[in-house]
Amino acid sequence: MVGMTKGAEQPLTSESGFQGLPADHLPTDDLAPILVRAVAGDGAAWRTVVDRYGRRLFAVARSRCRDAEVAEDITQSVFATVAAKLSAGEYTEQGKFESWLFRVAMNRIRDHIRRVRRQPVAANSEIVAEAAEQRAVGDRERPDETSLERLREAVEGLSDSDREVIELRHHGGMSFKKMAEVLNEPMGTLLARHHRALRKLKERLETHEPAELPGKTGGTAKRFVGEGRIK
Amino acid sequence: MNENLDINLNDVTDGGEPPTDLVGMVSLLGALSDAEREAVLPGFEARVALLTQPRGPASGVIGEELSTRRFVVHAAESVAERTRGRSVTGRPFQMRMAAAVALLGTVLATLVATRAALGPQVGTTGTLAAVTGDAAELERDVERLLSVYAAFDGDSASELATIFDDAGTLGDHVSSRESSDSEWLEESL
Repeated sequence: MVGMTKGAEQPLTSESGFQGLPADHLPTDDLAPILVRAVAGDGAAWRTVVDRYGRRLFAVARSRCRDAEVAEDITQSVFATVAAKLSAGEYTEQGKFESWLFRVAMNRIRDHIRRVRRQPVAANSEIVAEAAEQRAVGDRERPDETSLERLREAVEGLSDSDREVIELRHHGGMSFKKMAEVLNEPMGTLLARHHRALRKLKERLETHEPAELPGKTGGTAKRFVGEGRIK
Repeated sequence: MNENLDINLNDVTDGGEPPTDLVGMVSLLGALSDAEREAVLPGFEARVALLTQPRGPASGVIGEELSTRRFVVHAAESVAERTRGRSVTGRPFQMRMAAAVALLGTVLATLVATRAALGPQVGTTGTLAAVTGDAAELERDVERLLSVYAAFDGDSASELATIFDDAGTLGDHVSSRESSDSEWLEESL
């Protein structure tokens, strides 16, 4: 059964306007009672858990596999594992649910990447086409899809360890404290790695030649990076 | 750069504010994160919640349906867990079975190919007809030859005509049973 010793998780719904800030910055509530109700079969309670973490897990998975369906499969797999372990009483909530959830997710993503690396890589045109289909919509100012695609490529060019920090921090919206629990590394190491990864991304975007992306109009990403215009 | 890093390291909660020159980069990553989250397929949360809900006291049809779906999800999960990350060399039984099936398939394919290749050369039907003296079967053979003959002309046609005549003679011998096969062969030679 899920324990209730401590619960300091923060709510996060798809409508929260979350934009990459760590979850610790969001309003708090008690997660443990929600988990207890969910394990008892309360569908609404489980939906709350999925609402809070689902898209963050999805974003991390999609950033890595570039495929919405695969990312959803991974997300479902993670929640299924967590649900099974909760039902079996193998987890006691002590304020580390988020870390546990993302640790399961990172293991699942790494497994997927290992499998994919043994297979032929999808054609670049398919990736570009999918990116075009996934064009983001929103009422706030946002860089165009070309800029985001360049940023995705720059993130892909990072080492695995740097990339994990970027993805957990920004797509997963995790604090460095939680990230340290997930990756089992000192927080100072992660802070330094994050800082270094940001610099690498900036340098890559600033030196990126538009000709490297045929058929695309470039320059927006550099402008946004250089001027810090976004929000 | 080092000063900025020191500022971040002092903040143990969230890394503090990013260095001024990286604010734009952080903002761009935030926009990318938004885009990744918005890339979910319609009904994402409802679907995930429905398919992964922990077991609880089920009630009614919906509860039973959920249990079934959970079983499917958990079963798939279980299979994935069992097979994930295992090397091929770690499964000797499966390897032996696969090798046995492949060997059996190869043998069968070889047998089938051999029979198909030898069939026309042996001429099983004609030989048996000659030995048993089945006149009706000989006539059918002749008809087949005629149908083939119609498709040829020139030298091939004359050769086929000779074969046809020989077959006719053989047919007469078999029908009259006046001589043995060996006698007919001697006459022909």
